[in-house]
Amino acid sequence: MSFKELVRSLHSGETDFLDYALESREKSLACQRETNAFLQVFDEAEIERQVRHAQGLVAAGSATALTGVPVAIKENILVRGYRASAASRMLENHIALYDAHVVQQLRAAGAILVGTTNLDEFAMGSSNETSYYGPVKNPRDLKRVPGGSSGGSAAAVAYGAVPLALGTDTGGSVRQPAAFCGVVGYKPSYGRVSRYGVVAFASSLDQVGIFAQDAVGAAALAEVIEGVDERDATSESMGTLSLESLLTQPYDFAGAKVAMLKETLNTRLDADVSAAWGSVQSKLFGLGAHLAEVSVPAWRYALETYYLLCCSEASSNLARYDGVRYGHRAAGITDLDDLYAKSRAEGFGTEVKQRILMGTLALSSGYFDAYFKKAAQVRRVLVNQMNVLFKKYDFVIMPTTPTVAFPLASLSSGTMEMYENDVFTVGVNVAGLPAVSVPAGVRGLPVGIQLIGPRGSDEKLLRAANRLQELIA
Amino acid sequence: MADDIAALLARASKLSRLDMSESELASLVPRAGAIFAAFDKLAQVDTQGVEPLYTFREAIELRADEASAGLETSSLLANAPESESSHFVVPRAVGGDDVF
Amino acid sequence: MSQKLFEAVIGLEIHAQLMTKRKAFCEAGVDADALPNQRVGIVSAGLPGALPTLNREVVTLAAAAAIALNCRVASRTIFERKNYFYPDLPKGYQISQLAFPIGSDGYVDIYGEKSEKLRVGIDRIQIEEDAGKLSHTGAKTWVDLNRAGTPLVEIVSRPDIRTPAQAAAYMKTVYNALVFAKVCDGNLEKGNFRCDANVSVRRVGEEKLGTRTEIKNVNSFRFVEKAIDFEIARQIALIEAGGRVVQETRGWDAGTSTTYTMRVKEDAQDYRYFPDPDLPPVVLSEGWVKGVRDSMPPLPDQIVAELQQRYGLDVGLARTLGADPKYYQFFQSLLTADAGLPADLVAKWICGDLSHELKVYRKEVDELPFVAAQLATLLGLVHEQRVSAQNAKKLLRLLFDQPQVDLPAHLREKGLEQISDRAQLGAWIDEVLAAHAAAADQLRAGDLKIFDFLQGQVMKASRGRANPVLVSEILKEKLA
Repeated sequence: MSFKELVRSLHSGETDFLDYALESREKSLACQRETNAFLQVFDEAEIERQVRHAQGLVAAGSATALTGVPVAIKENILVRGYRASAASRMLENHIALYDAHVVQQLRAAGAILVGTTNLDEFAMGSSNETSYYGPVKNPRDLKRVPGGSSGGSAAAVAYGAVPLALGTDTGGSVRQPAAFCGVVGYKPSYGRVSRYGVVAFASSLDQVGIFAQDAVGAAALAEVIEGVDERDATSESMGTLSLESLLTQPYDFAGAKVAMLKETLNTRLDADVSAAWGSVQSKLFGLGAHLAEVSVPAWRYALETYYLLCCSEASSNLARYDGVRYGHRAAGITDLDDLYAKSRAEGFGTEVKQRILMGTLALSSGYFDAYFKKAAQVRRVLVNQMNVLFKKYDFVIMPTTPTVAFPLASLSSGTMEMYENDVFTVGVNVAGLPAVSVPAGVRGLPVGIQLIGPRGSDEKLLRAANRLQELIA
Repeated sequence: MADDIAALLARASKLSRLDMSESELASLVPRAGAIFAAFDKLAQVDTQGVEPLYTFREAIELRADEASAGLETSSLLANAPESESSHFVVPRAVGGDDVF
Repeated sequence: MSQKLFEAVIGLEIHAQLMTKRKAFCEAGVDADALPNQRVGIVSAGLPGALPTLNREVVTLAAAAAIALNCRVASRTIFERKNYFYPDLPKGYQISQLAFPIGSDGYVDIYGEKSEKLRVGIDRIQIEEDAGKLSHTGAKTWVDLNRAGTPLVEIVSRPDIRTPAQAAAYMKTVYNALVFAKVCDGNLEKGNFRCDANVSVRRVGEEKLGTRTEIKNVNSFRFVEKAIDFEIARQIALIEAGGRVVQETRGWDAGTSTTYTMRVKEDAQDYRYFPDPDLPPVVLSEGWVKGVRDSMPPLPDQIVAELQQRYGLDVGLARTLGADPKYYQFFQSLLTADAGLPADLVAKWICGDLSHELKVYRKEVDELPFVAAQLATLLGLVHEQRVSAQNAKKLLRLLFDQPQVDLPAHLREKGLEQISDRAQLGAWIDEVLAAHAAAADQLRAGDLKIFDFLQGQVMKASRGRANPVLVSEILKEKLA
């Protein structure tokens, strides 16, 4: 069912709120059994409470497109009263004391929060295999990874348990699993959606992202959660983002100038990805879009820049997990420094530890200028180059990933090989741009095509993604 | 090269309070080496006179000087591994920075 | 003797708490008297998902501090994370400043005993947040996070100070500037204003600086002077005995009047400073800075000038009065209580007799047991010459012991009222001159000792109430 159709059906009364929500709950439990996508599925009483609230909104005439719609939440986004583990042993007993901003917005809109989803530990990973709670399986092929770090949310939507899910995207963690699972994955412009109540991984790269079956669903959810929040000093207002614009102003690709980055064209692609990519290009051509190869030299360094920045920021963001005020504390320790060292060693998995160590080194005296500061400078170079590009072009387009979903346990975490999965997605976070991955597979396993716009152009981007999705279908 | 990296990792593990065994650290050395080599590539980019970008937003919005109630002490301490008389408890801290 | 071969090089780092209602980066309130862990917000608890936001009053007060200390206010100031692990640091990093502090390149002038001026440079003023409080019992440490996140400014002087007395004077001058500017409440007991001193010595003539030690958290002017004095002597003695000064952090033990080792500085802690990605830069326009400057209360230098120009006080008196915000405020409240009082008289009494009694009674001028109006009444009596200078001092002490006493009534009852009525005085003088006609003749003939005798007789006749200055004057007239 398209999102538009779902909303019509709910608002008309054709589909009962409670029936639909409970059905979603059942599917979520099934999804959990088959794929390990969910970490918590809320109990019936909780679902019923939320449905009553949603019905109240309808009665009061203040229903939104999200009212009565089930949504899953990645377990690094805080839901008050529920465990917020970030899929880590460090926080396995941590109950959130407050709601994230995006969760507050969803509640106010009458969405039905069905449960929390699995992820790579502390959102660090590209396959959802580093979770303390075990890996997630791709619903489209249970022997393959769903992608990461928001593997659980991608799987939940792909499975059909929920029509919408929230994830977080720091280097591709929404777009890449969306591509692997065959759903829409949208990462907003940096600063568009408040990070208040989102467990921080890399502060200048993290954004809450959205999974949906179609761009319309993504836009509906985006409209509810976006907007400046005074509790997040990095959030800013960036013009409108309305669901309505997708419905009333369909994007016309005729005459649109679409850039393909030269620096991405030599990356070896899986055959299925190559096929989908070729197909999209010719379809866009057919619509009258102008495709051109453009060089953005700094893009070649996006992966290294990304890892330097995210490891550094993470090493500082994760310092608060020390066993003092909450979280895992090693047992029987009588020396303070030992307490820190053992609690953190026991609480964190290998990938997280590795990134903390690299980040610590990149910030340390003697290395700061050559590493962290250098990466921040390269970042500005990339931003400037993309600004120049977007003066002439409406979008940048490329495959979301070089490969289709790979088999479970086939790639080791923490290796450059694993990190290369993000080669098409990280540049977007480094430059703070909005991007959408649209399902575009022509055969076999799902493939995603990524559409990128200038910072702040989210509405136009979603409209274009919507059109692209229609085109491909 | 490998020695340098092992020593660097050991230092990093102290600075970041991560207790890691020799073998754990040793197993990280090749990966760390590859990652450092990747980081070193950035030296190829000309950044002469380029100001680093640390935040996208150019100017912060200031908040009013109004206090909120703060967390309920009981909620705050509910997640604590060890607490007593409304305090968090840890093994005795020695020295440390900025001690009052 | 050895002190003359050596000179000390001293720099001070002052931490002053800014007077705000909300913490610097956290939404919880500032309240030193709250029960443990009752003023802790999401940010100062270091909870997952917490994000810092910046209290505007922190920026305003920090800018005011910079202005009060003659610093340049940055047009763009940036927060950085100082990363280290300690139980009083909930996020595992302190939000502070490094490359772009809010204030830089300032100075204060301090004056020595002979009014010689020394300009002490201020390198930087930076905004930072305070840590929580730890208490230690046996094998455990207890953590209270109420104070975590409280806004501070750190003021770093250049190493221009050479003596312990200068250090104390610098600390006091900065203290007064901040209290006058209403940036800090100046509560030394609560530790709202504290000082670290960096001390090194070197042989006179040597250019290279000696190894320095840091004396931490001294919260009184007297102790700063004593601690530095002790430390200088200790270092000199050590060097003369062939030893070397170890770079370390030391504490001041007021009980034994000594400094002691707190911890030896290991290979410098690597704080891995980097600009905080959660906090965009603070951009301050010239117009905004001017606005802060214009809305600040007058600063010590302006006040000293005003006291000289408007009230005609001499420079020494103006400086003493103008340097201390509490004295200055009290001066103004006395003039408000009685506008007829001469400023000069009020100023002299505050800086002289009152200051003396405050020391005797161990009180600060804002802790007087009696209201300003009472002292205004006393000064009024002095001004009208209805009480002698000597008796006035006694009455001042009486005010400390009996704050509510009705002074004029007391004067009457105890017969202390000084009589300045010329007619009455004249009558008494005539009486005495008549009774001691021979003495009067002797005086006229040149025997000056007789004058005191005659004056004494008039005082006796009046039972000590005659205004001695007037008696002397009128007696001279009558004898002329």
